[in-house]
Amino acid sequence: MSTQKIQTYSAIIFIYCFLFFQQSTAQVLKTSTGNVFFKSKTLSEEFVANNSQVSVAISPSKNQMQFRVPINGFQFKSALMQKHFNENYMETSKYPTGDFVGEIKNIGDVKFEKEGEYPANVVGKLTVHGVTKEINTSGTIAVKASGIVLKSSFKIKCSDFGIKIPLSSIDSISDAISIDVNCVLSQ
Amino acid sequence: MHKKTIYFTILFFFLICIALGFYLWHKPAEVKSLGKPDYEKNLLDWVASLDSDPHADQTFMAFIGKSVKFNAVVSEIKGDSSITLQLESGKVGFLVDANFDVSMKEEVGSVLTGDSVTLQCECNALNLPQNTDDLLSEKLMKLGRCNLLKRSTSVPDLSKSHEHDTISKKSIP
Repeated sequence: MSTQKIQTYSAIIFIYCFLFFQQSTAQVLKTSTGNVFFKSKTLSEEFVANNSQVSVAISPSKNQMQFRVPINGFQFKSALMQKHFNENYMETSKYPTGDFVGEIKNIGDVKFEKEGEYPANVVGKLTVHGVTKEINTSGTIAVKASGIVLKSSFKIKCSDFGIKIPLSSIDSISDAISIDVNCVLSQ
Repeated sequence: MHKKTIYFTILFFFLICIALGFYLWHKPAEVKSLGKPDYEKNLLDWVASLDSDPHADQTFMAFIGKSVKFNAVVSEIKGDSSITLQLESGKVGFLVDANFDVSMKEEVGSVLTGDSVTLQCECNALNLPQNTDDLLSEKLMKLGRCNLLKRSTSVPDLSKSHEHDTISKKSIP
């Protein structure tokens, strides 16, 4: 094979690799069926609700991450608790979604193109009940053939977001709510 | 004797209140929309009007938590833990997601892309891009607690009817 041919093939391979890399870094990974669970636990009561309609998008190249949770999508066991949650505490008709916009602080450690599980530190702004707060949490990003799996667990305080729990329910509903996130994203 | 009657009456009402409170507290939440819907809509017309409405998010707020009945064609089936049917909206960049509770996986599992369905769902949210940098760039109507009322398959089979009426007698408005 002549030197010229080798150079041509090398150039083609380089261009292909470059374009593939560009495409993989410019991609936005998305889902609209992510899962969020929350748990409120006091000595007398425990409430659990899940939501499987969470929209999530991540742009690795821009290091942007976005979550949008339809509040009315939380499914409780108790009908009364679900009604109170939407009408009295979260005021869902006024604030229909919870939003998070943030970034992965250690984005350099997460290889989106290579299968594996990577720890991720996430920082951003969480808006719930019309109140925005800075949050800092950790989780994992698992890169699999089936997609990107995001997992995180953290706690928020109802009082931080202006969610008022009446004195009569203070024994049943905890101010600190545990949130578990589990979402599978794909291109 | 008179005092005894009063005490028994008070005790009776007290026990009734306790029983009622206990029933309401433990009454399970519905996983699908039942009963008479709050609205009956033509999905394509509804989407078209929301798509052209500059204040669609405000308009949609009136529907949140309300039940709506409509016909639609399934364009995609998605979801891992629970089933979500993406429905044809008639508008590019405007998606409609109808989510079913995980307990309805068997009932909805037979639905195929291209099927025509009659659904009754609760309106959960209308996601609109907030700015040009928004990663969630599509308009997305999220419907939840969906109830599959009727389904007809996309490929007609002349040998037998494919009408599957899954309306339970209780759910007929």
